[in-house]
Amino acid sequence: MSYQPSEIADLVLLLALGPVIVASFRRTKIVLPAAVYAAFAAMICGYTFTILEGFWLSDVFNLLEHASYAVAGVAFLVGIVRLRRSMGPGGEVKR
Amino acid sequence: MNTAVVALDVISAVSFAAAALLVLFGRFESPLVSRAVRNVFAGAMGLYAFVGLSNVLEHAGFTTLLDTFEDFAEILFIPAIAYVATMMLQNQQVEAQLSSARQMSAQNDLLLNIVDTVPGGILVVGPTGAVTFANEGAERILGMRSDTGGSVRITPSWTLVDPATSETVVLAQIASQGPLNRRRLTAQWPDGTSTDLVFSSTPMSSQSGDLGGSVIAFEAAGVRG
Repeated sequence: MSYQPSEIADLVLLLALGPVIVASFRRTKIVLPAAVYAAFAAMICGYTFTILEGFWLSDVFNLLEHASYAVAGVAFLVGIVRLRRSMGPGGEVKR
Repeated sequence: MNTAVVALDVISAVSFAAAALLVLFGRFESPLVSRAVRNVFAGAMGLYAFVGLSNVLEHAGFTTLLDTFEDFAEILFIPAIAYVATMMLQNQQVEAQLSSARQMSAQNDLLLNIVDTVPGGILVVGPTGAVTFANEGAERILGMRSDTGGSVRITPSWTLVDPATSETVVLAQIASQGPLNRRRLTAQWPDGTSTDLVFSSTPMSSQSGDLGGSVIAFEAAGVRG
């Protein structure tokens, strides 16, 4: 049974700042693609799995952790591509 | 299992790196996505590209050298994203203020055009009687000239007289009174000619609520030689 304090700090930071991040993005006129929210969700999963792997089914949760970051990376990439496409030539957001 | 982890880390490193490059060099045509926002966002993506690379090197058995720095990269990610979100919101607020200022400027220009098109004279007079604005009509009827600054006008040598009482009236009196509705006054010029004028005025409040002068409108009712 082991975990790193930085892993706990990562998760606490995400849980503390997550609502601020979501609220700030929602107040802007830019509509974030669902892929970006999926990426954040994957990051939360990754942070959670990395803590769980220290306690239980370490190989499984380690794999899930790395899978989460891979999903997050791809989702961020897709989200950013969609975000660029959603912006019109004058910077306005197509809804 | 290890091969799968390495494969996932490769996907993670490549996709985060691609996302970072896209944010950094791609075209985002919104003022909300400023250069600063893009730099920080790309930095956040770069942090996880670095984490992915470190994991690839570690799990593929090359080196654990980068592992020491992984924690720092991971812990900086969320604050960086939070910074991006709040900065975008701030950019939106700044953009709204700039847009509002541009609208006000356009309205001001429109108002000045209207005021200068009016054939009568319009003056803005401070509580001391100093003229701070005169439209083209006022310049034409009363011969008021702009000073070099363009905002404060010089009062020429005419004298305003109340024809009913023959008393001299100064602009400060009109500015310090309440609303005035079509009061007849005569402007007497040094060459002996006089111009009959009809004055109306509306008092203005200063920011402290005190009387801050008046807007005075007038029209020429006739010229006597």
